[in-house]
Amino acid sequence: MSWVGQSVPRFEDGRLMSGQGQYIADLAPVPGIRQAAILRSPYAHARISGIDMSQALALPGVFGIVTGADLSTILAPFPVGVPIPMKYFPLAIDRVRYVGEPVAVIVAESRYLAEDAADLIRVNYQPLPVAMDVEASVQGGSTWIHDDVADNLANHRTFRYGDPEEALKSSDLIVEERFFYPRNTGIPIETYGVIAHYDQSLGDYTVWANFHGPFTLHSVMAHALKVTTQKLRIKTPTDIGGSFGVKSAVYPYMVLMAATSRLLGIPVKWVEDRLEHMKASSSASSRISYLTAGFSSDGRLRALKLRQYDDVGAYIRAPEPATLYRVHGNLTGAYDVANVSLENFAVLTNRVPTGLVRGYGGPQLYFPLERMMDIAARKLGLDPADIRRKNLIRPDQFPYRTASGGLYDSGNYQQVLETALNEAKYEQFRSQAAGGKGPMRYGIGMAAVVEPSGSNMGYVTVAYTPEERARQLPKSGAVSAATVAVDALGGITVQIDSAPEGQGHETVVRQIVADVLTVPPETIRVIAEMDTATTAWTISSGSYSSRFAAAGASAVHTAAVQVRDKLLALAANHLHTDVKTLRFEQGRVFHGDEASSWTVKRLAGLTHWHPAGLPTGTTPGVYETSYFSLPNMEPPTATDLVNSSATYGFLVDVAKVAVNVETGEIEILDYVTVHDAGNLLNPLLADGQIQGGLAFGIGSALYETLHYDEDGQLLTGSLMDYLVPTVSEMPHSLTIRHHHTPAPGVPLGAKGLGEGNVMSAGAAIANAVSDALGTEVLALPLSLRAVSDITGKGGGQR
Amino acid sequence: MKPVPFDYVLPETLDELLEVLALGNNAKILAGGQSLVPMLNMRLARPDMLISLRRIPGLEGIEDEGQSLRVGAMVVQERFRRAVSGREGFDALSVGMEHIGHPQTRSTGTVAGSIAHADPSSELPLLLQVYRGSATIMGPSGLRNVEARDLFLFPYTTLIEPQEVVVSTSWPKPLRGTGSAFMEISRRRGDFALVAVACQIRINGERCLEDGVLGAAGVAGTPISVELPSHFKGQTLSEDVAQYWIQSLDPLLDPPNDLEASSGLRRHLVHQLGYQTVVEAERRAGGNKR
Amino acid sequence: MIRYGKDQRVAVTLTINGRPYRRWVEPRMLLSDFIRDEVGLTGTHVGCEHGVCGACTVLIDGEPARSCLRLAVDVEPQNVTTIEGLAKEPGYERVRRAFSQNHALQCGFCTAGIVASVWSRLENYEGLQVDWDELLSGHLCRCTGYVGIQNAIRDLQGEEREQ
Ligand SMILES: Cc1cc2nc3c(=O)[nH]c(=O)nc-3n(C[C@H](O)[C@H](O)[C@H](O)COP(=O)(O)OP(=O)(O)OC[C@H]3O[C@@H](n4cnc5c(N)ncnc54)[C@H](O)[C@@H]3O)c2cc1C
Ligand code: FES
Ligand code: FES
Repeated sequence: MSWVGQSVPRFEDGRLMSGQGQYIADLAPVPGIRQAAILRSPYAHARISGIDMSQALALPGVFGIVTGADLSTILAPFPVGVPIPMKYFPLAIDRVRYVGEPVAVIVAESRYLAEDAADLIRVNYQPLPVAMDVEASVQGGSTWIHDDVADNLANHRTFRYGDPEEALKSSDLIVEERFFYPRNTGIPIETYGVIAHYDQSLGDYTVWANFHGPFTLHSVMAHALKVTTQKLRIKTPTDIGGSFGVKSAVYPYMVLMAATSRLLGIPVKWVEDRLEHMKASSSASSRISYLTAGFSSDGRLRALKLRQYDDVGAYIRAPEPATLYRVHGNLTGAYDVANVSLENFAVLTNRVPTGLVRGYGGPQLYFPLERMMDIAARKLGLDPADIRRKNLIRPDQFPYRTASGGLYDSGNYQQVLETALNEAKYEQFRSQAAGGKGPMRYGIGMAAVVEPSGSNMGYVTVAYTPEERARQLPKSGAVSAATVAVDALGGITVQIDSAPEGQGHETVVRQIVADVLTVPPETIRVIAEMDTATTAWTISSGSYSSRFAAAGASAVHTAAVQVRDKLLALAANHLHTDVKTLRFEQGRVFHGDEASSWTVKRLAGLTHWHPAGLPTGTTPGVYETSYFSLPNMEPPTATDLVNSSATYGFLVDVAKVAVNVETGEIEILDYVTVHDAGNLLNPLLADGQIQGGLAFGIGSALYETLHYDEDGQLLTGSLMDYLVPTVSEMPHSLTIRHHHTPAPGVPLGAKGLGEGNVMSAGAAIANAVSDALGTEVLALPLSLRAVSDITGKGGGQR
Repeated sequence: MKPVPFDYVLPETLDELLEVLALGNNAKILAGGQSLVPMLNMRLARPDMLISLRRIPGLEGIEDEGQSLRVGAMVVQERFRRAVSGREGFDALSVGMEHIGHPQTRSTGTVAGSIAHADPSSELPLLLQVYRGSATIMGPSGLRNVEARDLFLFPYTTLIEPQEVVVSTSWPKPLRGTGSAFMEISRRRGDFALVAVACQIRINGERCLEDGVLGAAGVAGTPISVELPSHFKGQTLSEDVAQYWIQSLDPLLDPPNDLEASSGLRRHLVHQLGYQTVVEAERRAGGNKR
Repeated sequence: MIRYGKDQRVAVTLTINGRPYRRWVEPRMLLSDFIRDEVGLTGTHVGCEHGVCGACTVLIDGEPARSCLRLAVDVEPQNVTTIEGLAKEPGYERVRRAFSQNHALQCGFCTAGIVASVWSRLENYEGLQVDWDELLSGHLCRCTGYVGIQNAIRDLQGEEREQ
């Protein structure tokens, strides 16, 4: 029996269920740590003309205060992913640009005291006009947030594939709409946390944080700290309390605390509170999409034109503007269409900077795209299922090259769609549920989503023009590293580079290694903490872009195979036989059907206890590291083609909703989601990812928004106002089904699947609500207020 | 998110409590803390002194006084909810209290604290009005009883003076033949109401209306309520009667306009929920009769 | 009448998991910080400090309550139980098993609070109707979509019925 593919309960659960998890806030890795609090801007845009700290510094128990002036003496601005003259520091220097921007760091004996001191600091602000509207900015109508960034435009690129103009001209139906996807965020229940220690004698930084990569940001941090990379050692705790991408943006705070530790000469710890997190951590980019699509009268999609405006907040922070490019290769979703034009704007506003949030770039794309299919279906008198059937990429087209350069590795989209429709009893619902009862209206909607996983590090450079790229060194690849070691008495330890935050990597790693070395999973120890000084890692290490199933698991697998091969070669030497005739079974070497006396333990022992007896060419010890590189990860071409992800899964969701037209309440009666993520390493954990992703998607569809007023004040800045769904907001029934089309370039055939439902749910639910109400939903979330604006109840917009 | 420093006082008698309250130095009473402590943690409340009610004897009781239930200031919401659930005429109260936060906050938050806090979207201030209850308040000049309909002035503001404390609330038991109902729309389960409506109705053997109160929360600076118009007494509940009664709330409406619901939508929701609530209360009254 | 000054550290003795802990703290110290930072029981987590997320939920005299919304000094003389205490209870193993087998936790940050709430109803509620979804609505879990948690509860109830 193989462990991979089984629903193995997690090894992590034991410690987490008994209160023995080790999260960043629980740690005190060096003695003498002091507590930090951050004074933050109450204004969205203002000049700082003075800071009076005298009272705060006089408070007993306060060790020191760091301001932008101090910081600028030792820091360089963060490098950014676009060529614009903008300086981004982790602390405001002379101007604040969003509510919550750090202005000073106070270090004291306790967090209570640090906050008391923060209260005593007097900052002189001269408020400036704010820029909140991306379209107004691009049209030249806003104040400039950075003096040298004209019209707040951080990135502007156009792309053209095929002949979209001609295809539109010859189309029978043109769909033209403006869509809005709101700012929302991940809300991990654990907030950010950083501990920083500066060794004054050597000039070395050690920073502990609940950071999970991408570790490209390690070099960004080292650059800001003006040190060579070995001088910045980053460690992650055993447990991270969720992230959903958001904790990648703890990195400015890692630099801030590192610099504070250096300036004050003491180790400092900062645990973000929830209000800080809401205001000033990170956010998904909102997007305005102008979509134009051409269809033939029989429902074939001929051309797609998109103009996208992303609000990236007050500073464009690496890896942004990647929200615009993460899905560049799968811009056309599940549909076979060759004529595409795209215009991207990344625009600065006086809001918190954006960054990774589960689904990254996906919901912003699929909400308009999948709504478009339903709008076209309605206009053409087609069923939404039929219009998709007509346009889905066919099984015989794989591997399929998309218009924008994506290489869809495998799939059977029709099969997934039909399973979803069957499970949802789609036809039955369609034939019965005309209209509704009393105030209730019933509707059904679907979304078909190609789910990318394993990002190509090169896609980020699509933000540059081909000419600009040609002047840089090429960037590409999706690599993960893992080490499998066997000690002198056969103990197996695996070290991984994914810095997980709840996905269960420790368990899956055990399954993989147990299969290769044929030992029980519980005999393997997995170290998932990252330490950039001792772990094997690369710039693409970390947990993001659903990369573990494809990249991380492959690195573990190949490292384990290296160990196995080394041990088998040793056994072959001792048994005087060809290694090809040997295999491991139950931790023992078998020669044909015959068990030998050689075990993993004994073979590994030889390499430790008796290196003199090893055959020539065999090194002592068993410590195998694999750097695994996913295939087909080229840099973007001169014509802006890029395969932005290593593998592409597929899913179809079908949602049934009941809308109360009097109250605006929406109930999700039934939800079906069918995935094809290739081989599943652990179905129990895979379903957990889907359930969690769906909850997220439902939140974004119905509840969640970081809403700012026109002065740039955040109106949903606590968990009382930012509405994270509870169990009572989940669908009444949820059905999950899987198909398994293996990923051809991945040893275990697995694709990622944790983000798909974030990309699909908003679209599926909006399609269902549009169906129920007989209108077209063009914006999320569908609050009571939004629904009443559609139904006109209570006077609509008033 | 840590509170500012404050003195902490733990009086052991009501007299001691009044004594410290009389000092008048920016003090706050601490009951369950489910509203106050979040504000302390956010430093929106910055008292110099917190006075805990925890040690004062006699504030923990739910007493049946025959005509009414007297609920001591430190009785937590969950305990009161369990005490009234299933009791004739108290449907609206027990259902309404299920809407207050969560079991984990109701285990700690007090009935009197919710009344004193006077959040305009809160369930208990509305319910106290609809049950024609009152708060018993103790101050430097002794005890006084304030009817719920007089108690609430503005959002988070009541007739309770800074030197005073609510020692109990009184919940008249509905007479035989009374039915009550409570309905609420909130964004998530356990959230404060966008709109809540409560109603109690008493009918006679012929199912004719004898008495009633209808009220709403979330639609003005305080809970609002209206009595059954006297000219409907003796009539059966028709759709016209119900609608007329509900519309008699209109002059009191002053609904907020926010991200989740416009003023217009809240007005509309009061009418929607109002009708269902009145019908349900009357139905229960009929059921209770039999 | 006890009166503590704001600049004073006062001796607070709390019984946590059956053991008394005496610490000198400011009157303003939150129970959650007392448990974590003073006593070192870090299994109780803090996610919002305004009562919404539920991560800090502990049992106070057997009832689930937010430890971020209580002042440590104001908790005396009630009994506090945290996940570390529950984990030592004889009946806890089946909760651990039900949660693990149903994948009711991912990052585990919300788990201590949820387990406290669930335990309160498993232990003292024989015969009483429990609205499990209502109980769970007092907790935010961002990882699981709640499905695994609901399934774990269903298993635990099934076991109770069989007993
Ligand atoms: C997550 C969450 C959700 C919630 N949801 C709801 C909800 O849906 N509906 C709702 O109504 N409430 C809700 N609440 C608030 C909760 O009901 C509180 O319990 C209640 O508002 C206050 O009661 P308390 O005992 O906690 O009072 P405290 O917080 O201790 O005090 C509140 C205020 O009242 C004063 N006060 C308290 N007791 C007295 C007294 N006896 N005499 C004079 N003044 C006094 C205090 O000085 C303070 O100003 C929620 C709270 C949380 C944390
Ligand atoms: S930390 Fe106490 S409820 Fe969130
Ligand atoms: S398991 Fe991560 S928040 Fe619940």
